[in-house]
Amino acid sequence: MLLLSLCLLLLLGSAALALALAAARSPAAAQVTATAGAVIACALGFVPVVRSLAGAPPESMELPWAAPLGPIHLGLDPLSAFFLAPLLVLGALAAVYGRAYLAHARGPGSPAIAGATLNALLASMVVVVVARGALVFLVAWEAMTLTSYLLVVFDHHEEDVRRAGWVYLIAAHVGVACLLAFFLMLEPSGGAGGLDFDQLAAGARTLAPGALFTATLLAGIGFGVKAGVVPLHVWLPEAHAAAPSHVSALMSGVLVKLGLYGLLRAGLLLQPPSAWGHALLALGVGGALLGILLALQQRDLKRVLAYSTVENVGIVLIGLGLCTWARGHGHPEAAALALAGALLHVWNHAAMKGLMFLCAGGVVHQVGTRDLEKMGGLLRRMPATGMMALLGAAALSALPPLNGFTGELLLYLGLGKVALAAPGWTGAAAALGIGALALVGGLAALTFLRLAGIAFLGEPRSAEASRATEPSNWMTWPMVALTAALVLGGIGPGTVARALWPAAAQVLGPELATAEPPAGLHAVGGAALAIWLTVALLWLLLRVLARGAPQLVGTWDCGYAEPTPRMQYTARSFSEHLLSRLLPPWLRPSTHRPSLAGRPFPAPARFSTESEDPVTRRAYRPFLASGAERVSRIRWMQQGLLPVYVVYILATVVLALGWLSIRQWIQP
Amino acid sequence: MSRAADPLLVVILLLNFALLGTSRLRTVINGTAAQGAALGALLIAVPGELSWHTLLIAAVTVGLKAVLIPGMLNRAMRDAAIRREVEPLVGFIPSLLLGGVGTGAALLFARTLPLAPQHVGSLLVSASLSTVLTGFLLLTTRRKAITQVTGYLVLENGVFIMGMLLVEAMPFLVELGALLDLLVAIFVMGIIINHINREFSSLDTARLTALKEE
Amino acid sequence: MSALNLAAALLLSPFLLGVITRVKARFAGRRGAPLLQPYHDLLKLFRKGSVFSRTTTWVFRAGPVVGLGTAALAALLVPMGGRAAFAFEGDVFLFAYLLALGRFFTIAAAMDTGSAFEGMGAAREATWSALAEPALFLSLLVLARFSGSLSLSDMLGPGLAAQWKTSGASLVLVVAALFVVLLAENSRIPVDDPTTHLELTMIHEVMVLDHGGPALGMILSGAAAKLFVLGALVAHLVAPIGAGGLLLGWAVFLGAQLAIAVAIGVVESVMARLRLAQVPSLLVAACLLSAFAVVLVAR
Repeated sequence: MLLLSLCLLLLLGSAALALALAAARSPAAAQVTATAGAVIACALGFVPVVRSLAGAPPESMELPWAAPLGPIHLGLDPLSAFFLAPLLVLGALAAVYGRAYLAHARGPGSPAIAGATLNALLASMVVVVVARGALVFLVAWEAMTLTSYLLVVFDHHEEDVRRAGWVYLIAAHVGVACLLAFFLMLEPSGGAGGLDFDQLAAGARTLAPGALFTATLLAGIGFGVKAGVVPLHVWLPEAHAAAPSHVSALMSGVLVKLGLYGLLRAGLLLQPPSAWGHALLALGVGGALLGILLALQQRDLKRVLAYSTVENVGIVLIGLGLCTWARGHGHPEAAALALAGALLHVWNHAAMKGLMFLCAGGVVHQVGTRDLEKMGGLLRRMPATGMMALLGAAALSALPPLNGFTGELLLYLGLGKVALAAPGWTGAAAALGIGALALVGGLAALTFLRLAGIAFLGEPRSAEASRATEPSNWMTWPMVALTAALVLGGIGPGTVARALWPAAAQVLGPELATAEPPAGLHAVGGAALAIWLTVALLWLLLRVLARGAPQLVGTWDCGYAEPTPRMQYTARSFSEHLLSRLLPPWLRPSTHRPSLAGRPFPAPARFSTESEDPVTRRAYRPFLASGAERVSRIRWMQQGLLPVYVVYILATVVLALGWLSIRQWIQP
Repeated sequence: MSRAADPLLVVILLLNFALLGTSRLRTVINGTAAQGAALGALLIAVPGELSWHTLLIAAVTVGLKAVLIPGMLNRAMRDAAIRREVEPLVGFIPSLLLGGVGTGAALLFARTLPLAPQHVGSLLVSASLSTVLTGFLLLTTRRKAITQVTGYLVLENGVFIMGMLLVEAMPFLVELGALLDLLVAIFVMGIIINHINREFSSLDTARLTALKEE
Repeated sequence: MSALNLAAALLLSPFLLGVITRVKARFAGRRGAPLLQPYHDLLKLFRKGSVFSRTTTWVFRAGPVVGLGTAALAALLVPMGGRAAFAFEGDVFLFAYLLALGRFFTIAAAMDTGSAFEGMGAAREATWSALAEPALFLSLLVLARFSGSLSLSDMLGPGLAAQWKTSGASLVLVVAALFVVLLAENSRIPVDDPTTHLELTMIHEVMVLDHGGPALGMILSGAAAKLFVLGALVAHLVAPIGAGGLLLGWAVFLGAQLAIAVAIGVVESVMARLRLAQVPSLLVAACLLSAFAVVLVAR
């Protein structure tokens, strides 16, 4: 706990110092201060995290505070440590990467201030995870939202970025409102009025079933917004695409996962009945499918990755839902497998998506656009970044020998256990869940082949892409670290699973926790090693068989004399068949077709397709539009005069007081 | 609870009327300062006993509310070279009448509140409400940014008086809250004054209408 | 054991290709190429030099290598004459994802050339396989439910013979679904035509247009192994080996494999290739068949 407090102090201190330096007009020193502070702080904080995951007993700490809601209570248990681990690792890497990434920022945003804000974001996320009282939790949660908002709108001279920031801010505050109500509902009535998690858990046990349902729903919405659970995910692709890439990596890898942390923590407080498992399962399957289908439609490199985050959160939810269901229906083994799979996937996804966003940052840095259709041939020009991106794409498609497969294997095993053992519809539902997961896997492969193939393979589709070079070393090394995590996580999944086992055991409770990760995980680790060896051997064999230098020619062009890079398959055409023929119309991207009929010589026309989130288009937009319509009737209230606004406040106060005294008179 | 506080509260009430009735900007600022000084005295009078802690807080209050901020406002008035007249949206007589009605309502209302026994019959609540109301009136019916700042200060004073009810229960918290609030208020208003001064070359808040979203 | 499985998948599989070609030739009224022709082709290719496109990178070379490697490793997970070389709880998922890994790099290699045709083939292959994936998983789950285990060796083990008697209906559905998957995964008619001469109509063949020499040899060898491995699943289903020795096991298994090759040849001869837009319908039908089988079993 001491080291963790030091980590927090260092993060905040370096942020303050960096701000001071930035104010003193030495931005370079400010950036170095912020980065060094983040790296050292994360290293310090990692020590207790490792200790806790290795089985050290939970620690806690109380700071006296004169606020009416009691002292500040912080604690470190395996569940906190589980989420702190990717937070600290990815945080340090993002800080290092971000300094180099923002060094050439062209907009009005100050890189030094962004560095300081990143440290503040890291600090608030650490507090969110170690908070043991609702008040501190909410304050840190809000600080996390605000600092990440500031980072998202770093390029605020762009209209899109400002809009994305707004959407994020609004969504986040809808979530916070739900969380506030949730925590207040749990406050034990007539007690000391404490908002410590222990007291809240006691309060939850006294709730009536109806109230418990409402509280669970509120927690689900509040944390679901942050986690990007469909249909609350609409802010996620906007914000991830708009933010600087290292911030996207941090948000996708960690911040979104804190929503899942909140769900797990709320689950510990509420002990919801197993029927909620069905809801989570349905949300998970729906989210995974919708997320990957939307990822497949995007032209924007970072939006593809962002929607894939929606998909992966769905996969984690499948695990959580299965766990909730299975523990209530006498399948302890399946519950343990599902939970371990979900948690393992959280770690794996942090590494995979972190890597991919960092790679995307390198590409955007070089090509100057996020548009896939303007990329191509980058693997020849940025060999290291390209190779790592290809590995990341394979990992996100859940392919062995990389780590992405291991978490899904546990989920498959958990679902399989239920499918084999449970009678009737439950078994069938679990089996169909496996089918859905398999479909998601296949679609993910399609999506990431499209991303990697269009961006990195083939010939460049724009002049910028053909001039791209490898980004600086400070940007490459964080990617190398994450790639190593992908490879090692694939070879040693048993070891990784053992590290997260204490966290799983804490969530499951002592009676359900099993002692060991399943044997299949070790076998898969061995298989990963076998794959690497086989591929290496065959590679050598191909070398030997080829005998000498290969002859180099142009690509076979099927008889055309002058092939150009523009003839290549595009990102849109790659997914054309699935999108335009197989999807239901409301999921398809909308097309704008020029009308050419009626005139003998048609005028120039443009054909374009656009993929807007169907949830935004079909649900939120009509709802908000009709709301705005209604609200516009009281638009006259906006006078633009300060005194008038003060009158409103006065009127409210007078009315409130008047109501109080009238109530006094009516019932003396 | 000593009744020694009541005369002070009456002084504060009278100052409220003075603030509403005057046409001179300097009087408004000085009236606010006098109210601040009265609040400092109130801090000593209400607990009924002297301790170094209350003395310190009272000193800080007087220093801030009676010396520092009015001084800043006077300087701002000099620097901005504005006309030293209050420009009311609502005339002085109607303002006074409104203030009178409000004070009366506050006196009536205070009786209906479920107060702790030692506060029953005290003028604290009604003086507080009346001062808050005066602050609101100044905020709404005066055009100049400086009068708005004083309006905000008077409003704060009203909240401060209400805080006296709690001064025995949690003294430190009340003080901290009041003073912090005040500082924030001054910051905000200072920024507003600066901006208005620079951007609109006058201190007339009616110009802020230009910011309205069409 | 593992050496035997590996050798069978790598060395016997080209023979199946020869059988398919021979069956098709007979249907067309020709005598057909010798049954061992694929071996000659492979030897010829492995002796040639390499020609690569200037556009390509290491990914182009990784395609054949990973494709052959994963097919060989998958062969170790499938029971053939006896149990599989390696079996553990959940190996069925590793099996499916190994094949997916091979496909991933084959497709990436095709995209690496920057050719429009190869990109087209890549897109089609990726789309079809995404749709075939649930059918494969669900069919295998039916077998898992029968055997109570998530290991291929148990699922395709001796218990199957008894299952045919008790729940033949769902097994027929599974065989049908798996056969469709087999055809789709191995790019056979009616999903794809391996002998077409027009790049525009190809799927798998167009992806490997630019490969030549040893690399193409590896691709052919990998494709044959994949046919053998997936065929092994169906072979165990249609000819379950009850109790019996190793020798009997292998004899039955190889006989079933030959029968499947003949069946593929017959299908290729009597059916036309489906219109592109209808391929998904076939695959979705396979998914539905297997889903129905799952419901039938879990009921």
